[in-house]
Amino acid sequence: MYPHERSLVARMQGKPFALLGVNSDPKEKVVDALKRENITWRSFWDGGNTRGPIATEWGVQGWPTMYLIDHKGVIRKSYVGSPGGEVLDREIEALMKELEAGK
Amino acid sequence: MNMRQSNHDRRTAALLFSLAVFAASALPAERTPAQQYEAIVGEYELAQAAFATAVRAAKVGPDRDKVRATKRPDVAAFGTRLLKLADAHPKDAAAVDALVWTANHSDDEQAHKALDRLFADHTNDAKIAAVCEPLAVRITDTTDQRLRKLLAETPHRAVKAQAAFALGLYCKNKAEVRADLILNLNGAEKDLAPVDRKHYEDVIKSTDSVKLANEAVKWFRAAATDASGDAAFAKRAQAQVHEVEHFCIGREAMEITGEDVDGRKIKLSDFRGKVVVLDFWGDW
Repeated sequence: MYPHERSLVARMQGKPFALLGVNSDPKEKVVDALKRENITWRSFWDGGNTRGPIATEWGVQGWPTMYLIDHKGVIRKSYVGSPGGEVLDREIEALMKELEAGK
Repeated sequence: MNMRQSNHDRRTAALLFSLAVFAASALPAERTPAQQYEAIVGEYELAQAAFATAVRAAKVGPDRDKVRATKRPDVAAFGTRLLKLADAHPKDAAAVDALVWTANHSDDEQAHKALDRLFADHTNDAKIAAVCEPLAVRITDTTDQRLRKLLAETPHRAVKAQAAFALGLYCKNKAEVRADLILNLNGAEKDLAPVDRKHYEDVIKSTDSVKLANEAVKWFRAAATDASGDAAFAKRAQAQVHEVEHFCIGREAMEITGEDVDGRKIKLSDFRGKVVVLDFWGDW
């Protein structure tokens, strides 16, 4: 997903959009991934393994798991496993349209 | 005395032998409904295994697609045989097995035939529990009504728990479908036909995601209570309660406060006013 995420973040730059990670790797592995993959978006660091407090609280059982949250803070969609870039893009666009319409 | 005894033994042995031959020759026609059920399902499983082997043996994508399109076992043919078996022995325990298999494996039309019979004649049978979850995932006009009927009629507490759990899943899935339709109306579905647009709008108007989520919580709670003897199942039901209360579609996302890997503080609410993709990820 890294290439898609990079292009998503680049395309949405300056718009009211954020990709926000919750990362479940050991510290040195995250640091390496951020540098190697040129990851510019922010991530919570969830304690170094998949049983971190955030993943546990959110009941995450498979990685990646994604939540789509609208501008009012309401969960609008969730995926266990990647839905693929194209689907994700269209659903983000649908939420951006709602935001722009001030719904 | 010895002589007579041994003659008697010989006669008995001969009689037993001829009985055994008779029984063996009669066996194929006299198989019990349970044996017939096992035979049909066994045949299906062999066909399914052969299909999986053929898919693996085809090396490239197009070949695999061809195998998938042509060699898949004909579920409907097995379903037809099982429905026939259930018809021939409606009071036998194998009838319930045959109907459950068909309900869970066949396409909608055949599955509904099996479900009709199960919910008309077998709501007392504990084995009906196996259709509850697949039924909830399917979402049809009759799902809700069927599960409620089972909940009212079953004498088994464990089946009550399964029916309640399935009703919870049904409500949750309905809320998720509604949420998808809203996104689709806003452009997530390409080239939306006017007739679909109308249908989506009707569904969205006639359902309420918060009400559905609350109803789901009620059912999952009931399932956890009735599953008292089955700790693993009760735990699943409780996990669903937690999920629907906090992370269900339509709920406000719970606050997350934490730090990034460099120790800088982040809060999810910092991003309020923006569309957010929250991505649980790992570099593996």
